[in-house]
Amino acid sequence: MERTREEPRVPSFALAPFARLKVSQRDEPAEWFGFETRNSYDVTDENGRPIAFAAEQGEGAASFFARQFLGHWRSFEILVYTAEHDEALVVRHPFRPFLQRLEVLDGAGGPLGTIQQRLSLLSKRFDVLNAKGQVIMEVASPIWKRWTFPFMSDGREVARVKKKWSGFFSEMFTDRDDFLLEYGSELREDERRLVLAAALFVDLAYFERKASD
Amino acid sequence: MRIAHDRRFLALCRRRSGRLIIRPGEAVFAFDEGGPAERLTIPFSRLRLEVGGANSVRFTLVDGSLPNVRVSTDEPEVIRSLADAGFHAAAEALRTARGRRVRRALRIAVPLAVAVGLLLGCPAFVTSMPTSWLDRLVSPERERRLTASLWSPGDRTCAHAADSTLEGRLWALAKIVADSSPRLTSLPLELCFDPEYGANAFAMPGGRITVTRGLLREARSTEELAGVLAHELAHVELRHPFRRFLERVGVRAGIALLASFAGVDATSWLGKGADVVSLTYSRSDERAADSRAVELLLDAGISPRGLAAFFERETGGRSAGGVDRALAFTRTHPLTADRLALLQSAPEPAKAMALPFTVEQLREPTAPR
Repeated sequence: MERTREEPRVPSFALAPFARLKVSQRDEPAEWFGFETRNSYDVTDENGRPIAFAAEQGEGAASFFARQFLGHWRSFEILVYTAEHDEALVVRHPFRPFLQRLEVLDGAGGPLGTIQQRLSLLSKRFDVLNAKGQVIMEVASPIWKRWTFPFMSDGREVARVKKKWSGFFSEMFTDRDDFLLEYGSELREDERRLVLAAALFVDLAYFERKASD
Repeated sequence: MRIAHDRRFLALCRRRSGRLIIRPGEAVFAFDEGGPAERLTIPFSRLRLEVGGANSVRFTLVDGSLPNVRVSTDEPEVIRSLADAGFHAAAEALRTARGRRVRRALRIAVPLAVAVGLLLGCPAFVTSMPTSWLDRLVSPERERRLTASLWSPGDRTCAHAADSTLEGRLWALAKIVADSSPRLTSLPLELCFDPEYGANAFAMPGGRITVTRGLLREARSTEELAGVLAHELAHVELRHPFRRFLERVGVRAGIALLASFAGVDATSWLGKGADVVSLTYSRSDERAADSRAVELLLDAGISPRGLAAFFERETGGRSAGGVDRALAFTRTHPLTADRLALLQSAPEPAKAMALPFTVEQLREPTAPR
């Protein structure tokens, strides 16, 4: 979206103006040697302008070892910051022995909703729930379309998350991923934020690999 | 005034939450954050009920005159309430919902049963399958082709025929034993020499037998070496390596299926199931290989006492090389008293065969460690 100098500045974290966003995982050199580093992502618009930045929290030896050996069984938190470094979203990943879950809160700590993985064999399925625990969007990505995640509501696609091919070299040596988010015009601001959190969920649940692999 | 049929359900309209109220003759949706003006009323005369949902069964009430008015809920009791309130198409929706639940349950139960079947049934099925059945299912030639991509010689050197190389001479010795079995003569055989200093010999899928440098040094006679080769040839003849490989792949596929249910990516486990080098055999496999080895040796005119002596010496840790070289052999060939007794009580062959090599001729020149 292009802005001229005369246009009013958009609020510090508003996803409504954007039909598409790109979520790029930052490439960490340590991953080339098999070490899992803290996940961090850049969120940019179609023109590459930074909109937000997301970073997994957790320093110290305990977090380090949890990342190396527990993979997505570990509990952790990802903070999403605006381009102005304001805390916009908090994404919590609690420990779950199976069927992962992300709890999404706004910058003030108020609940926005949840991303909940569903039981499935040959497809990737999860639900997007609102703050009251109601399923507002469903995602079922068949095994033959493992790079595309359509968000369905009332039988219609209202958003889409697609994994972008990063190039053979990157794919082979790191689990760095790029995702494209496409929003339907009818989605409200809180729903767009949940879809953004769901893009992080897709990376964490389906594309992050442990260092031992 | 609250009517007896006035039931309320959590529902969504255009992803906004609210309450769905079922009253005789109509369904009303009240937005949680809206006033009285923000209510949608759908009389039964215009109501259409849809059953859908990708990950769970969801019921959507649609105004036939205003298709954009869609109220959805996942509470199954809404169907009964609609029926009680006089909506006649509710029964059809109930049947559709039941059908979807059954199909969804089958989509989960059938693969789950397959996974459990693989985990529990694969080992027993593969072990007990007669060799003739296995031959019809996967011929030895196909086994060799299938496992070729999983086999990497690494530091090993291999022979498919007799020649002047060390592995070629080992192959010739193995052939003397194999010639006593029409089945073994028809199977593709490959003999490999591994420069590893641990004393060991093992058979792998595809008719591949490996003998280590350490074992050649430990063997005190050609009869001992021929006995070890006969034991491994018996494993090949009985297709133990391929059975264990199938068992491992099946079990790991079952684990991967179960893990995928739990949302855990275990597909890398399938690759690890193809590790053919570290296959181990059950005690029954070892006993069967011992018995068959004795038969092969007797038919070839070679004394089985060599095999007994080698086993007894190595597993008793009395080898000249010490404990560390014996460990490799005992780890993969655990010896029990009954196995040793079987080997020690085997008769001598009616006619002894003169073996073409001495054990010294089958060793490399000693190299500094």
